[in-house]
Amino acid sequence: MTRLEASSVVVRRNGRNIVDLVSAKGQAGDFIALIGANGAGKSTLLSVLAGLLKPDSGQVTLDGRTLTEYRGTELAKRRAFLPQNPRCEWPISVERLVALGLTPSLPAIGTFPEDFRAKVNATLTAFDLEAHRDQPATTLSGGELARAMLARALVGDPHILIADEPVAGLDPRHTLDTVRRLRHLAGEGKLIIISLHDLTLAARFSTRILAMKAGRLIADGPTAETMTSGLLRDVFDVDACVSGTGDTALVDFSAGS
Amino acid sequence: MLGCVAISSYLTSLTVGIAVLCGAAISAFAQSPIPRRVMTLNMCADQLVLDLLPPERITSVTYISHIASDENLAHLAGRVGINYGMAEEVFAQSPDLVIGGDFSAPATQAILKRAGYPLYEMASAEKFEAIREQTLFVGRLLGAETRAQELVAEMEVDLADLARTRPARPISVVAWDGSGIAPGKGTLFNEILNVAGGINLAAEQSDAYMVALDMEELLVTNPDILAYGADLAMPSLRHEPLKHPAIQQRYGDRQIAYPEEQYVCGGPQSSRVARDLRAAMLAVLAEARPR
Amino acid sequence: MKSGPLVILVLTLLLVLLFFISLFSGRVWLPPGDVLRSFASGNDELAAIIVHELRLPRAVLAVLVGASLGVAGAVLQGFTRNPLAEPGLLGVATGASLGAVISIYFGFTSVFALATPLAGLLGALAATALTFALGWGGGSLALILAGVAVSGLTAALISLSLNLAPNANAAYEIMTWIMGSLADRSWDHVWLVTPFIVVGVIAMASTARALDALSLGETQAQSLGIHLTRTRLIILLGTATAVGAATSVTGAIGFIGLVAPHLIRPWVGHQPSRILLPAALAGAVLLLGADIATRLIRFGPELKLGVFTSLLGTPFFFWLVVKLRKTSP
Repeated sequence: MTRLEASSVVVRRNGRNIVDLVSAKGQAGDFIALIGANGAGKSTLLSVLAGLLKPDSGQVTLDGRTLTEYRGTELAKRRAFLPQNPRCEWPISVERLVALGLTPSLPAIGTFPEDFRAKVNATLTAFDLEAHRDQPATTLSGGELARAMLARALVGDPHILIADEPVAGLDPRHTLDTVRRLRHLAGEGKLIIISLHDLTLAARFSTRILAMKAGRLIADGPTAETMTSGLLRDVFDVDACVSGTGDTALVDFSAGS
Repeated sequence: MLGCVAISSYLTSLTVGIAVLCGAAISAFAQSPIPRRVMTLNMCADQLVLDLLPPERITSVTYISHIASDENLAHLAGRVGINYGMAEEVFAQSPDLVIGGDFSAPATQAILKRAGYPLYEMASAEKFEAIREQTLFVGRLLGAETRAQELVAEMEVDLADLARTRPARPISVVAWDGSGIAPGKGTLFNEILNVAGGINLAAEQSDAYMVALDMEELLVTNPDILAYGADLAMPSLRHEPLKHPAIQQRYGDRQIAYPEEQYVCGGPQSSRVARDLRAAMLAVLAEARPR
Repeated sequence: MKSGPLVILVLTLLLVLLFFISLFSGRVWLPPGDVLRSFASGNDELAAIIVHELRLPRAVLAVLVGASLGVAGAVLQGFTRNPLAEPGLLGVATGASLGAVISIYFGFTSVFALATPLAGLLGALAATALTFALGWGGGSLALILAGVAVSGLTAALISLSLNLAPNANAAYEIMTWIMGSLADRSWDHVWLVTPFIVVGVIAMASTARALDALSLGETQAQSLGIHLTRTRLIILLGTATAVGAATSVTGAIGFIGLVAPHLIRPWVGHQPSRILLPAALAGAVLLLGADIATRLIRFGPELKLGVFTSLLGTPFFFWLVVKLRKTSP
């Protein structure tokens, strides 16, 4: 049973707490949407949760052990991380891009093991990337690349996926496709934590909402109860109207704010 | 007119214009009284002037002679002033005559010429014939004919001696130090070597003044002796190739280090340099394993 | 994936071929029969000396140095994800030259034989460390700029040490030395640099997985368990060790490290780890080929190897810049 827990996390930059005493928990099956205005500290918090950034105080534990106790590859096998707008810097094939997700499990030297090849093939199929297998990743469209990156993150079958705005820049169809996949993964027992600006998506698909404002966590709870117009006014300083729940939820901003 | 001959023997493509200028310069010197205070801007001139004149008639010589590793030269230079080839030094020391040279302080010499300063540009002498003429000419110019004749006479004695005791078979030599270039035809080294009873194989191979010769070519050229110009006190990269096993194997006991700075300026002392070279060659051949 | 082994095979064959050609090429023509017979006969014949003591160590050195330049270029390009990165650009080569110059002209070489390669290594290490420190966290552009700045600094320091050197001819000598050459090197040089090159190349090659992961950028690489600081340190030490030692024996040889990875990249699907071995082979092929060319092209003295590689490499650099200008936004 995967349990990720942040307690009293503080990250200081230039004398300012950009993450200010944040405590939160997540466990297998949660699909957590992290919302907040630009500059609220979402990306920093995600980096801390992923173990990429050491907090100035406080700690993050995975199954009771602090992240710093984990060896790099050990942690990497259990959680995958996707930064905002992940890019591929060399024109390597999609197949190899996806295979990079297995890096933490690879032996230090030698060729690519045969059973890993099967995992890559299965993932390529699962993410509809068969047709692009040999295509240089740098020539993929935005939606295809996002899918390939997601496949890269999940090929190693991690317990936790943390992604920073995984749908930024995607068209509606690819956005929906991505978020559905994530919810499906949560349904399979993974812990998914993503930051999102599309509040309707957050309302429809996430199971829990974390809301940040100026480095502080100002809301943490099940989506249906937490996503209210009151919260959104607090978080974004705009009047918003939240209607419906679940798959029909809709978040709309009033014109005259 | 001897100076003019010396200069033209060096500058093989002497133009009419330069010849006229040269003649004019000589006639100007011929009319002027004997210079009392002489300054030299060229290391070859340093040596000749120090040999010809008493120290009180020399205002300064170049710093190079002051730090020369040839102790005799450094000692003579130490008794007169020092200069770094600057025009300002010339004006400050105000000599009656400045002696420059082919490559020394060209900017300074140009300024002196423009200012109409009494300047004699001494050509480098790379043959004993030219050395003889140049020594006598400069002796006359400085009013030291007798001393010049003495110097030439000493040189002739050495040369006659070397000719008389010449080895039956010439000793073949290449001056090689790993820079890949060896002195060839027309160089002072070539002249001194010939007088010393050697034959320069680099000059046999090519008509070039400096002959390109790498290690493979050196090995194939196969001289009796490998001579390398040396200033062994100084750490240098040039002698690295001499440590090469291939060179050690063939020339470990057949190499001589010759004092390079004595092969830069041809002068009356060059006959002594040839005598030293002869002695060094014979000494090495006496010790070397026969081929 | 399919063409990778083929590329390695072709390059290996080419290398073997060039190696043999290099034994037959020199400013002195030795009949092929004599060259071959020299391997059977004793060591006293002239042909045997020329082949065994001059051409053979020279060819071996060309392979070693070319391979380390090729790997170093591939690793640095992979790490910075900048196709213009190469040992020369990051100050490795000028740093090594500085170390070697100090060792040569202040007489350390005469104290013990390893002084010059060690000084070259230290110089390379210091210069590279400075480059990496200056360019830290600023992305690969900052790293390249830092390399340019450090190269400028080390060049100035080389001039300064020549200025202060006790030998008046030092400036001329070192000018020629820095041009880079394999001429007249011996087995002693081979034994001197081999341990450093082996250690350096192994260190660089050990970062292969990290280089692959870095295709996804530093954040994702880190998330995949890659220790960025450690990787940076290994690359720093590995390049400085291999290239530093090589430079201290051969002088600066430019552009091999830049060109070799580029020639290989399209054939192995651009994956950084797959470039390393072929880039080593390509570096060796290029350097050995260039060295043969310097021996066969004759204008007076032997053409300096570094001059030749630069003459051939610079147009390539121009082409690369033009290409980058087209592809970058």
